[in-house]
Amino acid sequence: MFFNFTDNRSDINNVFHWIAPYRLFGALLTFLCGVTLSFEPALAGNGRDKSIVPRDKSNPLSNVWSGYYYSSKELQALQMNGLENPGLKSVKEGAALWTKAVGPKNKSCAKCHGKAPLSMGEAGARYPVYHAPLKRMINLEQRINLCRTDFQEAKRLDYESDELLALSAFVRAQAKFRPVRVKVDGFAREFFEKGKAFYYQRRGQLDMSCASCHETNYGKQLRSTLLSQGQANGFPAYRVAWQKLGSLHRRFQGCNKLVRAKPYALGAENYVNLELYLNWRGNGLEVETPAVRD
Amino acid sequence: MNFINKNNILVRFFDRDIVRVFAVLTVIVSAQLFVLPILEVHSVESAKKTDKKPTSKLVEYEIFNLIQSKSIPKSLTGVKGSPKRGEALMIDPQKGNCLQCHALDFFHEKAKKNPNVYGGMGEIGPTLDGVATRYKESQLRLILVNAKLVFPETIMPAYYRVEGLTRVGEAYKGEPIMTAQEIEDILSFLVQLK
Repeated sequence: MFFNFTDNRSDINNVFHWIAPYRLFGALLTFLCGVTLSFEPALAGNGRDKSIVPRDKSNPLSNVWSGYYYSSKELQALQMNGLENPGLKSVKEGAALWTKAVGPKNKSCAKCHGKAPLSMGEAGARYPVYHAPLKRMINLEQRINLCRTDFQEAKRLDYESDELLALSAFVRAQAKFRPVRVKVDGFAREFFEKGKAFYYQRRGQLDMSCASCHETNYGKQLRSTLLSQGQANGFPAYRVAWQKLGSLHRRFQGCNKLVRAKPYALGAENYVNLELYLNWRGNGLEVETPAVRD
Repeated sequence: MNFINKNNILVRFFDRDIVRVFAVLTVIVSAQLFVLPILEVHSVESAKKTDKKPTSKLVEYEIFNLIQSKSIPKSLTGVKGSPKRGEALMIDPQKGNCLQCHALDFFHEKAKKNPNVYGGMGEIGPTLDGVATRYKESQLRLILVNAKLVFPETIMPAYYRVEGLTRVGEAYKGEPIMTAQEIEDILSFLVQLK
């Protein structure tokens, strides 16, 4: 070796000794830069190729992964493709419905809310929310229907109808790549606890809870499918099994039928509470609507 | 730090991207200059010290579960089960559907010929190879009938049980997943796995 920096006899040649008096200052500087960088979104995980740390300490998951992580490479590519993602068809329909005037007052969504990217940016990331007049939680689909009946005075849309799917997917897609941040304190607390109880309740002839698969066994093979953490951040999502876009509640019904339980109605209060609880488990994951899943 | 020049164009000195680049560079450089010397990461001798792992003189040993004492010694029907029917029930998604969670080498060979029926095995439960050496027939019968009596937290459904279930679907109400004879059929197949 020509240069030996650890040689005690030639301290004057050691670069580290020159800045020895400024060590503490440097450490502070490094710390501050680190704090600054921790706000850099590109370095934080997004749940797709790098897991995120749960935002709440009481979250039973130690690493939070989006369903994207557990899908096949082909479906991942399809979801990220801005042209070929099959769910985008509904989002485009939703964009047309956003400006379409309906009802006797000839009001469109845009008449009150203006441009969706500006007004709806956070809505998709924070629903379900507490609705005081009904004294319960409402999700995005129910909010859209409330708007229709209360302000547009138009007919309410059926849950899982193409129109409502298109509108809810369009609104939620405005929050794409923003972190999910549902609130579970205050009025929502009661419904959060109900959703949690629903999650851990065993049901059906097979006597399984949501946790049986999606908490204790995620990442394992269930015959030919890989079990995910059951996150809600990609919904409304395009499912290959459905060959179309579908809502989260349709997925809930499918899960309930798989364990041979009697499913609840779409938009049922139990399902909205579960939706709140699931979104809380995935707080911090990015909204991926319209996601592509198998 | 921004200013407007002669041609009325806003000149931005501290663009956000530039700040980011400098922040990254500062972290790397200052970590090298200030923090690493404090931690003595560069010292070869300290690295050598940490490399030494304490070696144990104890002999390696495996821990086995205690044999479960609960069991159903008597046959449910009194009729001897058929292993051939049991094998068919194991891959039937409406009946036993064992491969959903368990793997078994016996089916791996069949999967090469007929992947649509036998292909894809779960990894949620333990493999079924040699299950008859781990449990007696009477214990396996109880695990099939109601595994929760042996392993309370298990995901495995109780195959012969109708009570104590929540919100069972209309089509399945009051019926066990498999009949008593079907349990005996599967059991006669499992007993062969030694």
